[in-house]
Parts: sequence; structure tokens; C-alpha cells
Amino acid sequence: MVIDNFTIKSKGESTRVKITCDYLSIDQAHKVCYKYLDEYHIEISETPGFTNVGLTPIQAPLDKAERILLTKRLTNDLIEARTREIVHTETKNIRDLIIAKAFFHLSK
Amino acid sequence: MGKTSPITEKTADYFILPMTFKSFGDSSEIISNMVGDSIICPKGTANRIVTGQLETSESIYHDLAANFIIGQGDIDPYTDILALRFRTKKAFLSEFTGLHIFVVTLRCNQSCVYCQVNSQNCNQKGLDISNDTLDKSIELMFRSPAKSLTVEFQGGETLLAFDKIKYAVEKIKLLNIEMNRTISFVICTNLQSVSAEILEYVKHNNIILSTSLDGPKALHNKNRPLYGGDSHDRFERALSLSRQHIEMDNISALITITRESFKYSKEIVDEYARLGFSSIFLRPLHNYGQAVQNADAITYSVDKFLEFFKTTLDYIIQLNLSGINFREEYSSIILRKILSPFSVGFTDLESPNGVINAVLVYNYDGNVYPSDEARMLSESGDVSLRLGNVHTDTYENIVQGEQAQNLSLFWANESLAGCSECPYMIYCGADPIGNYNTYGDYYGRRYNDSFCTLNMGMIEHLFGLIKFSEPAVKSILQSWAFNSTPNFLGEEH
Repeated sequence: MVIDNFTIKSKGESTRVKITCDYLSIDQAHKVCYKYLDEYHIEISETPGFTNVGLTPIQAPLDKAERILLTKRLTNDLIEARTREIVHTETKNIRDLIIAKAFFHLSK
Repeated sequence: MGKTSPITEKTADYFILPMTFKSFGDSSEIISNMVGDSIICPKGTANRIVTGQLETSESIYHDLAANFIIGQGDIDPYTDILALRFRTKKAFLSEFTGLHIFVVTLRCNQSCVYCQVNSQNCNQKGLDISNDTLDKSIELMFRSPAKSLTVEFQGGETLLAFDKIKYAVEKIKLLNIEMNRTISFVICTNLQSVSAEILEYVKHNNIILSTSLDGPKALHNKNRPLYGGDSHDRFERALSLSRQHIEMDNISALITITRESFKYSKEIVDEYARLGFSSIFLRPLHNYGQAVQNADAITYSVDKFLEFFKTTLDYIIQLNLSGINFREEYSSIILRKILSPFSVGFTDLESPNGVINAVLVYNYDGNVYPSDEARMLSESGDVSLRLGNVHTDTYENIVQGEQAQNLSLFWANESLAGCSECPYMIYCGADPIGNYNTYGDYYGRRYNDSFCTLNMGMIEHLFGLIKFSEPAVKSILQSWAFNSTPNFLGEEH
């Protein structure tokens, strides 16, 4: 499956995800993978302009229907992660300011 | 390939405030901010916000603005308000350790199937706290800067060492003439050995009794057998005697839920109501001590507990609808966190977690632990969570030492993977001791964590009830959050 800035393909027992770095940072890719750790062995690597993720089931290999479900789940999670990354980037300074103002009195 | 631009490159007339989001059912998502405002809206709303697609003509725009998810104009008033509200939400931190648990004995006259501290036979020697250890523990307690201190006596069965409780109460009262703190006393007891003499002392010193009731007779006796007697009968007689001496509100009861309890959802609530309690605290079994030894017979999955919780909660709501005022305490805590701007200060569900920040445990042997669960682990032989000993360590060593510093790295859910971007983060907490017990490290694994699954399940269920229930049910839930009377009473529903 190809959606905008990432591709998801099956290769042997693994599912490979290739994400452009201007779509999602490697840090955010790590966060997406975190929730898959109970079910998959995860590999994350970087090539110029891309973050590459491999997911291999810890238990039995996936059948066709399970692969389709995994692709849908990954697609949703990557779109969600992109949204989270924008929120994080745009609100980081505001968050820091709120926390600093909240506890400024403690430093006096 | 297409490219998604951040909002700053668009011309939206609003800015995003710090927020998190998550799917809620099939067609909705929940968006919340860092002070606990939240909104359930159509799926895709978060994406519309960040891609600048919201229009001021939409009602959702104004709902999001009212809930401090988006803002307009000058940023300063927003940060001022959110800072004040964030400080209010974290107010439980302002005084440091307020709850001081004194384990006066490990002896017990019951043999509960889930005993989390591996209590010992009541005739065994060397398991009571010494006066010297009490003196040192009290000295350390008064080093806490908190203006209000709660002294909780735990066991074993505390009343088997009532002389130690009296010694501690008198010593604390004497020292407090100079220290001038507000002191509350709580005795955790199974009431099996309570007497009129003890109750008069309790009354005279305005001490609260926290006892244990697991439900109707068959269940209570199965879970909490008594050496040489009927545990439930003795409990009921002792409760009746206690109420002849002290006020109803000064006796509360806690339930421990085992697999057997699942058969008695309604009967448990009915038993609490029959015995004059106006609330119940549906907490799951903690896997420590005998609860681990007897796991095959008494433990259960989180999903099973959530099913029981929802069924029982539904029954409690039905009782309220029929005019019986009765509340579920765990729900009340979560609802207060969702619906009110205030700090709740429930140590198990805070960030930073209550360990050291809100609780210290002084064990009968002088060891100091960051929570009762850490003490429970020590009674199973793992003393690695020990903060120090009252006889050999200073207050600074205990609350700022290496162990305390290690814990501090993992006690805030704002810094934990799987928590930091969860919309329920502000209503939930971190659980470093539970993580240690389950995984052997403080960090834990949110992707298969029972604490996470449990609390997320409860919080989501309560959000669903707040959002989709009939007005009378919403009124009941609000009354639990604000400790008030539901305003539907007297109306038709």
C-alpha cells in the first residue's frame, strides 16, 4: 500500500514500512513502533531521506487477512503519529511556557 | 508523493494549544489538554485542527476553543490561565509527604487468601515494632514539611499491637504541641479483636477506622478465614459495637476482589448497603504476597475485572436511580479528575506517583519504603525498594537518596512512552512499583501493561457514561465527582 509519504509492503514473513523523513521523524517512528512490541520484532533503520521499519511477528507468520489488518492499523497509526508530531512541534514552546509559569513561584 | 504541511504554513485564524487525542469508539475521538479539559468529537477532528481546516462558522470550533484545545489572538492570557490550572491540578505536590504508614506488627489473627504482606501467626514473637523504632519513625515523619499529616497504622492486624498504637499516638500528640501540624490518625483493622476499651480510646482521639469487608458471609469467610471462628459473624458484631462508640463516618471499609467475588456482584453491594456503608471501593487484587502464591485460585485477567466493574457500577447506578444514595469510590476519584479543576491526591493514580511524594512506610523492623506495595514486596523477600532504615539513615538519605532518585526518573507519566501522548494522561498516573513487580524495572511496558489497560478501560467507560447516559445518570456521576446530592432526585426519570 502507498499513501502519501509512506509505503507498506509485505516481504517474506516481515512487513516493511518506508517513511519519508519530512513526513515523520525517526523519534515519532519509534513511538509508533512502541505499541507493536508485544506482537512483533521491530527493526528501525535510516537511509538518506527515509526511516525504514520492519515488523516480524513474534508468534506465527501472518496470513493474508492478518496482513491486510496490519497494513490498515499501521496506516492509521502513521497518520495519527504525523498529526501528533505537528501538535508537538507547534505547541512545545507553549507547553514549556505553561509549566514554567505554573511552577515559577517555587524557584523564588 | 504528496506532502502535509504544518499549520504554520497555512492561514488558519487559530493556534493549537498542547493537546493529545485518541480514537473513542468507531466514529469518535477524544481530545484532551494538559489540564484535563476534554471533548469527544467526530473522528478526524484532531487532523482537521492541525491541518488548519477548521472554520469559525462550525460549532466544533467554538467547543474546541471553550475547552482550550485551540486559541485565538494573544497567547499570553492562555498560558496564564493554563499555568494556573496546571498548578491547581498538581497541587497535591505542594506539601510533599502527607501520608505516613506505620506498620506496627506483622502478626495477624486471620489467614486471608490474598494476604499481600505475608502476615504471620498472632503468637509469633519479634514481629511488633519497638518503641525505639517508633520514636525514630515519628522523628522522621515530623521532618516532612507537610502541614497536614495522616498517620496510618497498618499490619498484620494492628489491634494485636494496640499498645504500640497508643504509644505512637501519645508520642505524636506530645511532639505536635511544638510541631503544630494538623494530624489525622487512621487504624487499618479487621476489627476481630476490637473491644469497648479500644473503641473509647479511638473515639477520644478522633481516630478513623478503616476495615475490610469482602461481601456476603460465604464470600467474606472464604476470602478472609479466621483462626477458630466465623470471620463474617465476628466482623458484623464488631462493626455494631464500633458504631455504638464512634460515628458512622469514622468507619470505612475496603473490599479485595478475588475471582470468587465475580459471582456476587449485586450481593456485595447489597451487603455494604445492609451494613450501613454508603460507598464501596472496587479495586482489583494486587499481585503481592499470598495473592501470588494462590494465583491459580484467586487471580483474574484485567478484562474479567473490567467486566465485573462495569456490571457492578451499573447496579450501583440503578440503586441511585431508585433513590438509594450509594457511590463507587474509584469512579468518584476518576470523575473528580475529569469533571473538576482540582487536585485529587489519590496516591495510586497521580503523576508524579505518590511514592515518597505523598507516602512513606515505616516498617516494624525500621526499614522505610516508598509505598505499601514496596513493603509488600519486602515481605516476599525482595528488599531492593528499601529507601533506608530509621536507625541508620537520615531523612535526606531516605527521601533524596539514590533509590529515591532512581524512582523519580519513572514516576511521572508525562515522561513515559505510551503515556505521554495518551489523552487520559492527566486523569491517570504512573506506577513504578507495580512495573517493578511485573517487569523487574520501573519503566514498565505500556503495550501489555495491566495498570494501563485497567485504568484506560475504567476512564473510557466513565467518559462514555458522562457523554451518552440519560440526564439522571449524568447527575448521579456529577454528584460523585463533587460530593453532592444528585439534582434529579424528586424528578421523574
